[in-house]
Amino acid sequence: MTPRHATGLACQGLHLELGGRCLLAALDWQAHPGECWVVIGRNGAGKSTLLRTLAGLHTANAGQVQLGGAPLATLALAERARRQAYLPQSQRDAFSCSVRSAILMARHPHRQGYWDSADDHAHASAALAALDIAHLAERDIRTLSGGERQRVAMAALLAQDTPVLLLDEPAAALDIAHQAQLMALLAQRCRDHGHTVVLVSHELNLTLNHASHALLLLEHGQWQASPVAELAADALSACLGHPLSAVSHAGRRYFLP
Amino acid sequence: MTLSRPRLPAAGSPAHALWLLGGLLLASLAALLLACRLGSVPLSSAELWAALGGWLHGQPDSLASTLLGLRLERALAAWLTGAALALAGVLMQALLRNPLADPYILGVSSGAAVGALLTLLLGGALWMVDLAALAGAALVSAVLLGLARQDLRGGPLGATLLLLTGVMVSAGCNALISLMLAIAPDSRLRPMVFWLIGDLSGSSWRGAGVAVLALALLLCVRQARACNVLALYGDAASTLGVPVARLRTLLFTAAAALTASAVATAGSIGFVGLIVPHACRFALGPDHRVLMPAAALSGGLLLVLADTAARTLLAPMQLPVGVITALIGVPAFLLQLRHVRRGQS
Repeated sequence: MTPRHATGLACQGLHLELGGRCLLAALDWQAHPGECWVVIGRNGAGKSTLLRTLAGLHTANAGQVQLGGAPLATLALAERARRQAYLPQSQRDAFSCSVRSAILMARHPHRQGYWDSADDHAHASAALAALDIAHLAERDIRTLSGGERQRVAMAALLAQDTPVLLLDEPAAALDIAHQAQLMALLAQRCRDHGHTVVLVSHELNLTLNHASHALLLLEHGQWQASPVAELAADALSACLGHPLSAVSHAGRRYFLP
Repeated sequence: MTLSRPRLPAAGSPAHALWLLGGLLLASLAALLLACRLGSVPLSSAELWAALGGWLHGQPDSLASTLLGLRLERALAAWLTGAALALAGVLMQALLRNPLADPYILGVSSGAAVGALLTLLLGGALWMVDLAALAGAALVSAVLLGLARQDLRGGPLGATLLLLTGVMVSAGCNALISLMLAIAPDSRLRPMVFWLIGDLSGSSWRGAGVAVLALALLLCVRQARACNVLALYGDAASTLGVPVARLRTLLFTAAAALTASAVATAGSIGFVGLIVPHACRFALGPDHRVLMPAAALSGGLLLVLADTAARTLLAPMQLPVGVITALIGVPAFLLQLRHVRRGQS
């Protein structure tokens, strides 16, 4: 089955600068439906800035982002929000709000009426179940632990029900069981629903075992995109500035310092 | 023994919200009737209905009709002012993503005060005072929009810069207010101080105030869902389809217009714009779809009751209503905070 906006995400000649420093020069890159990309780079390499640019929160210095074949800048905000969802690195909660309400709010781009529809509630309940947080549904988001809050944000992302997902360090605050569950969930979305996932993560072994492709951000705005299977330890070492060697175990490759 | 209670709609459901808003509307009407009955010459229910009939038919011939007309005008002015302030408070809190924001925080009311006090100092007529207050509020709003237009688009410092700009503009206006109070002759000082505390005597309701409140409520109902998203997500609300800069400009403009209309009617009445949104948040939750209409109704209700108390408690002396709102508001709010603390532990 081919999903509605099946053409994924693309960058053409994307140029990003921050504070006078070149983060990315001429990024020509495509993430097709069914692909799960992990963006890897050192601190300050521009991973988050790239993700914010893809999400339309940061304006590129040159070049353009295309979403589902249309330039991001020409898409109406609501249409954009029906095609792609973005998970920021962290959120500051100014007001109290129940977990269920917070997840229902992510249905905003789909809604027509004043109140939440049965369909909205169904999506919220499914997302609560998928992230294993149904027991937190009536809790105030400000009383949650960091990991719980992160899973609520992730559930909201799923409830938004978009074919493209952008995630900035989704696994950072999670325990190892929930990290594995999250990555399996994202990989399954790509595989079974033909969704496109782009995530930033420092959890190399966790993400590389589930992702299909990697985008390495190198120094001086250079970059390298490849399938995870073709990723060499040398390239990864150069990208992260620390020697890594590949070790095989139980049919999987692990990168160890 | 078990008592079967009438089945009410579940909290948080649309039916529950409509029950609640209906209840607040009825309470507002009851408060308006109470305000019409109480005073130096109390009216009985029978007199009230007879006078209401006469007043509606444009025949204010009896004393009761005249009293009713005066009291109703003032009570309606109080309701409009309270509703406008409470709604402006909710809008400011959503705009700044700060639960401590109130309608006066960005200096719109200080601008109005400069205009009004200057006119009082120069001995202008009452209508000139109101007009000058409106002009002052409009001028400060325009200056703020000009200075902080970029902050409304967001960014890591957006809300902080907007808040600081507003606080600075407010501080400038407050210096002018202190200057005028310092140089005012004794005879003019008393009305100036009363204006600052907030006073509804001599106010009547106006078409402009009704129009501003109706327009703002309409806008709020249309934007309530987007306000929810903005309050939760901040700048990232745009990834959920909310035009962040446009919504913030709309919220600011609506809050400024509501504040200006309220302050021009009754001076800077404190506490309503901070306490009513908070009390509604605690009691009803953070959903703007319920919060905004509920805050408007509760604000109106509170100020009608407070103003009735202000003119009857020490009659024939009339207290400034701002004193009453603070005297009711502070203990009520502290009690509610205690309740919240208990709920947390």
